[in-house]
Amino acid sequence: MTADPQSGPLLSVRDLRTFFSDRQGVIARLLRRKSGEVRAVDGVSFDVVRGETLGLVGESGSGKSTLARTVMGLVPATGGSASLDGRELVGLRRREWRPLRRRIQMIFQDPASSLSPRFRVSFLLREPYVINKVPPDQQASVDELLDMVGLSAEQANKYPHELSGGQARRVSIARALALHPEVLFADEPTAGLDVSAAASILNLMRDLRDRLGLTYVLITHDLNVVGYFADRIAVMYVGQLVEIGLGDRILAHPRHPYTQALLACAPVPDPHLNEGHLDNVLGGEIPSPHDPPSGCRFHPRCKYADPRCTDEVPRLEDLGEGEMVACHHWRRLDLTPQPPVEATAAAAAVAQTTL
Amino acid sequence: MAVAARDGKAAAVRAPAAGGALTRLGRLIREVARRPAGLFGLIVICLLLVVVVAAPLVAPYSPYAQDIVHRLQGPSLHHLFGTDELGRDLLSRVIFGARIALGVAIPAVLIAMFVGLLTGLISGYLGGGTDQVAIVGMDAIQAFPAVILALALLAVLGPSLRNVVIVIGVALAPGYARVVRAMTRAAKQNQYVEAELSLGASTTRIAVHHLLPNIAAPLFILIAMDIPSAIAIEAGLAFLGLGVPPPSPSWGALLADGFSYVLISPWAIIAASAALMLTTLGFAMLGETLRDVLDPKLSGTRRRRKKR
Amino acid sequence: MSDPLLTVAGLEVVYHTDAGTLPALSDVCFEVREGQIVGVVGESGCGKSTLGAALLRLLSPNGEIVGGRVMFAGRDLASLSSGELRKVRGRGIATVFQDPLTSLNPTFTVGQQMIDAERAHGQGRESKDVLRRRAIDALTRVGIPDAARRIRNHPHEFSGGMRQRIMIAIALLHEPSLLIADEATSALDVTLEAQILKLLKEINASHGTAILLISHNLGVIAEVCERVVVMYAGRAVEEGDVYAIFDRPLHPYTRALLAAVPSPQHRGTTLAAIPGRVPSLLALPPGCKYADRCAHAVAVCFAREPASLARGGLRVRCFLYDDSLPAADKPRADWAKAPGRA
Repeated sequence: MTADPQSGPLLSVRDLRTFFSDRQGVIARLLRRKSGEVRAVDGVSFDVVRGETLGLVGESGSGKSTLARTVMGLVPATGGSASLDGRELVGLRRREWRPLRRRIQMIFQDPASSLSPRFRVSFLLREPYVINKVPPDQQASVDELLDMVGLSAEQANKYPHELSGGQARRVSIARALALHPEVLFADEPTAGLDVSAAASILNLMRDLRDRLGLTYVLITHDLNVVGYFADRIAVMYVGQLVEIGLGDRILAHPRHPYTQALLACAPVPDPHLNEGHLDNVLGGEIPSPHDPPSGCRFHPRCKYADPRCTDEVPRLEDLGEGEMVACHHWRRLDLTPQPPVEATAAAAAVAQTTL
Repeated sequence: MAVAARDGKAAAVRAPAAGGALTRLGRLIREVARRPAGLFGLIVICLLLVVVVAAPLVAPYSPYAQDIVHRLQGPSLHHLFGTDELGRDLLSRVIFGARIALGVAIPAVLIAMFVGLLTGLISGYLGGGTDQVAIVGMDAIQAFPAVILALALLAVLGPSLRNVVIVIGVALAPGYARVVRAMTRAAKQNQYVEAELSLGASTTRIAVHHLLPNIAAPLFILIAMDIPSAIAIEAGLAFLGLGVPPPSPSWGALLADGFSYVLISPWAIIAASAALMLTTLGFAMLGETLRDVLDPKLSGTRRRRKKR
Repeated sequence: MSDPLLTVAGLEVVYHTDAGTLPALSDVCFEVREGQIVGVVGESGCGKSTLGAALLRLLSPNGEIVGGRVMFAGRDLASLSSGELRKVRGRGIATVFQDPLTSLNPTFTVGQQMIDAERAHGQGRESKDVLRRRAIDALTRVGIPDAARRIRNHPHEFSGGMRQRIMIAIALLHEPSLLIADEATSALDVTLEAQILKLLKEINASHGTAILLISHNLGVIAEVCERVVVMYAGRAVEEGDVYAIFDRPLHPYTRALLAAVPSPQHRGTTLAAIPGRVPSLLALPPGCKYADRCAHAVAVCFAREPASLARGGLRVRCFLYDDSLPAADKPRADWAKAPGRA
């Protein structure tokens, strides 16, 4: 899906940066000369058009949740811009945010702890209206909200701990949808759920997308989920985007070596596909955003890295049609997943001939 | 849901009981009364409350009625606990002393809780500079032992019932502030706080609706445990002559007077210290039982329960 | 293949709770042969973690093994004294749990904890240097770089993936013949998960350590296991070779579970979620525990519990395959109307 030229993107993020200073106590600050900076989100740009689903993938520590929190105004941005339908979100005061909260909402990762534990479901579902002083004629009833997310009316009297993980997640979705948002950030919506519960949550989200025309930003580390659900995929690594593009293209022909490595690691429930699968496991661990590697941030783990990657930061190259990649060598790499046995040989050959 | 096999899973969700506040309170009292220490605490405190409320009816004499002829007597049918150096009935003085003990302790602890709650919530929720100022303030107060601090303040303010209450409140407030601050910081980490923020909830709404209920239980425990401290401080101040001024029958004053005549008649000391000990013990036992019931993680000795 | 190392026969475990006695495991039978990797898969509450704990008699205090046998290397674990059992734990069977932070003591260095673990199993007479060297070797073996230096670090100085490697190193100190990995990779990112799975496979190949891998993730199971036990409501509903289970699953639950996993191939289609919920152990239905979620269920499924049958190299608990039933009473395999692969 590409941007509709007439309307422009619904959500537009430009060079967004979120730095945390790891401020110490008074004495530690006196003793140490400089306080460090954690660049959790470091210059991220992307567009989301109305009605599409953008999947945001990356390991934990890649900054994908911080990115969502920054756009939602829960964490102050250090710089850059994020705009919803042309309205700037960065730097808004709490009062200015309020009308926008009805247009952009978020569901949080942990189904158990994202509902306030001392209140019944009915209270929690009315809360969005109370907080935002929504006139009664614009409110959906608790029963309607429950019905929308596939819960029965008697769940209204339950406390969050009496719900299963899947039910709690549905209540969170209902709360977010109570205000009729256009954009919904979904942070790991299937994390912590059983296979079957996760499937029905994805079905629900799909159904709501079709019925309400929702635009999703789906944050997950599960490539099976983005592959199933997202129209476009953005891959993050240590606070930066390394690749963004159509979901089908990314899954079939990844351009960035990190994307390829992520795809190679995703477990597939098919023992035939898994033979030799673990031979290509990405080694090492994601570096801390406190002290990111020089040049391309992925170079210490990248099997195609050369001296240039150590020194020079790769630009996020715009290939048009919303396709972007940040790698010095992507044109010379063929990262299309192949049957495992040949893949190793082919990759070695590519590495030798091209680098 | 089905049973959780490992304790991690089972302990993860400890939740408020279903049902209204009244049934919850009823269940709490029943749960407390099931334990011997809790039952003891409940009985002592109930008796104490009855005595305090009905003091003029229960006490056989006026606490101020002097009978110089029968001074410093031992227990007898006329004076169950004996009489003091002015011939006043010790039982009546102990009974009215309970009024002073609780009359000082309860308001003092409530003041401490209110001040501590506000400070703790604000400093815990806002963090940063506000937090650091609050911590320095708390440290400054807590650097002095409570009794010494109270003595110093009373020396400035002058002894009166009101000042004793204020001084004890100030001395105890940092304890509440610390607990509330720590609990607030922990509760703030919960994802529902972020979820509320993203719905547009104000800071006050989050603090009052979503943080406060989660820190209320430890506060009750702290109150139950602090009332005996407040009573003891009050008695200590009175013993030193800085408490509620005479002739009020404060237990500390009874002790001080009895102390002067201890070689002639020990009964004043026995009566007052028995009252002090029983009250302190009652509240302490209730507090500990409450802690076990409300927050099993702290006691660690309780039989682990499976979630439903 | 070699002899069975671990044989679980008719294992029954209950939890005593205020609400009553909960049957957490019922008639669980399977075996792990030497050097084999066996996966246990199921949704939360199916009893897979209880199973892992019951094998080492590490159930929480209100849990009790009320029936069946666990034979390990020819000995009945139920008959062992606590001293003998301690020897089995660690030396015979070792365990790795999901959260390494709660299994490691934050106040001691990794080296101290590893040396303590070695001493606990009767290697106290050896000098500390020997023990330390062995600990460093163990850490190197699980892929911790610069182990000689890192051994002086505390657990919080390691990342989650590294901590899990340390747990595996500790588990392997005494060269156990069976390693139980209870959701050992569930808290990790995909890349770290793959690294740990690779490590487990390497250990299995180089040391011949048999592994019982407990996981809710079908992908993980398919990745490393030779045999699979599918659990539901405390029962092993299907058991057999990994290819058979994933290619030709027999039990309707296994089929539904496999069909519910999202993948790029399912894009644009509705996922086949299983209707209903896992039944509460407090109110288990009398017949097949899966009957009320099963598209094939007929009267007999609600009436009594199916026995475990051998079919096509698998063991399955389902009346669909019970030929002793009269044809009229038997459920019919109409996969078109059920969730599952055709």
